[in-house]
Amino acid sequence: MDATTFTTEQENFKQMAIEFARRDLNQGAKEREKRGEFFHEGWRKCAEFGIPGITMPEEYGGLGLDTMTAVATMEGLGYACHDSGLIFSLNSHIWTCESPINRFGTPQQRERYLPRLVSGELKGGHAMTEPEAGSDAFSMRCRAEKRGDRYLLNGSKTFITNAPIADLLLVFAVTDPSKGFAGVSAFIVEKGTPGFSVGRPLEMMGLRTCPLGEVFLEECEVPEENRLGAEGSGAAIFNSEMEWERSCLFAAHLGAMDKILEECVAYARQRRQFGQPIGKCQSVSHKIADMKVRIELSRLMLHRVAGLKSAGRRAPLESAMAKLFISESYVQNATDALQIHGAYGYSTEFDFERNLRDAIAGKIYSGTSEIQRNIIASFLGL
Amino acid sequence: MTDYTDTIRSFIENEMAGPGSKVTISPSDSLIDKGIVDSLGVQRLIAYLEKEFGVQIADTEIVPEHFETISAVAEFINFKLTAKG
Ligand SMILES: Cc1cc2nc3c(=O)[nH]c(=O)nc-3n(C[C@H](O)[C@H](O)[C@H](O)COP(=O)(O)OP(=O)(O)OC[C@H]3O[C@@H](n4cnc5c(N)ncnc54)[C@H](O)[C@@H]3O)c2cc1C
Repeated sequence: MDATTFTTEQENFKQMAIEFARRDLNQGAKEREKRGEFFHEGWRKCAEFGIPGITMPEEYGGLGLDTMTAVATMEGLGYACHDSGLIFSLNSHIWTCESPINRFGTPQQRERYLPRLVSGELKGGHAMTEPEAGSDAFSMRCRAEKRGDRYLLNGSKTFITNAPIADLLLVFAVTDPSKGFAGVSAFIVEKGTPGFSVGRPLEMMGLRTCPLGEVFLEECEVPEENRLGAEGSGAAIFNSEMEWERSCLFAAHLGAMDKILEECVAYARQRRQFGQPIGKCQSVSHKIADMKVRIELSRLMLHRVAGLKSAGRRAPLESAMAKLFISESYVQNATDALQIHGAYGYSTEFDFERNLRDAIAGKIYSGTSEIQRNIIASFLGL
Repeated sequence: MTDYTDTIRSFIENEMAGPGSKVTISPSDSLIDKGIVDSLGVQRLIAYLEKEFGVQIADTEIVPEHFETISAVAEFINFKLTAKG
């Protein structure tokens, strides 16, 4: 029995995404990865294909489809696209910029930004992490002081996905230091705003085609109408973003795991040592069996949480569990795939080592594995 | 109008103030200043309120005014239940 819960239409979207990635996104991916180069043309093609607008309202140029369709598409991209950095970049754009503006924005903010975020003309991201505030994100120092009808932003952010290429970022800053996490607000900051600057791209171990950078805010003047949500809504916006990202982005990991499994099975059947296919050795076949189990459990968790989000439900616990399990499964499966392929797996000529490097990031961004376990424990009353 | 202060207080004291803690919180104490509700705690509180009172709370309603004190939470729940009809 097929474990997928996709409708025929959703399955078709997945297949179209697979064909699209093979046709339009993979050429030159290896060289770009080595150079750490963002694929601008690929971004444009993804926008043309409709990826940034899958779940966005039609009035802003989106396709107005449900969360499960977005998940199906991401699974397809994860399966077939060799440029994981591009997919990661797109996901950050969608879940941490476009989607919060859609959910928390005023009609004017939605009108101003969404059509161009959906069309891919604008690239976005969000800036929460600071040099001294990572997992403990709400201990941030970045301040936003109200001056008449504007805010003056001061501080710095780091490891910000898309920062070097972004046209706008959702920046989180403290508006009321006496209120702790409840004194944080979110601001839409456009590139070119005086006092806003971005450092050089940061060199990372994986997802190398996705630019990450530092952001500096020095007396950066942001008009009041660019505050997203009410003052003090920063935590609600951030929590909501993270829940969506944890519920959808990791579909790309599932797709990648599906592909890796197929390659491992094929290799274990074809590679012969000691006069037999290596798949006949239990230590190899059991590794592959465990990979399959992790994939199917990941699928169940992902589709459950995407189903909850599709139904308009809150899923803080479910999304934390899915994110934790899928990201850790991806690292384990990528590690096992490399081992099964021996020195070929370790060689940069094939994609196994790249998959492993890309996979490890998933245990850190969107809240580390340890933080997901803290969330789960907290919901258990611990 | 029903007063839900005690129900909410009981959840916050028993479940959120730390397992096994014997703190008492007055309805007007600041849950934020006392460190009882943090950014994760607020998610637990919202999940509890939705389940306990059968209401749907929009993300845009998760603002400090609605969870600063037990009284504020109770008032917000009353408002939600009245709006639900
Ligand atoms: C590829 C990538 C993309 C990113 N994109 C963005 C972005 O777009 N925007 C943005 O704002 N940030 C982004 N980040 C930053 C990311 O959110 C942080 O790296 C993450 O929150 C962890 O913070 P930290 O790196 O400072 O680690 P720290 O918080 O310093 O943690 C170090 C270690 O201690 C553990 N630890 C910390 N606190 C606890 C605790 N209470 N209990 C148990 N263990 C704990 C952590 O799990 C970790 O293992 C990105 C990071 C990466 C790797």
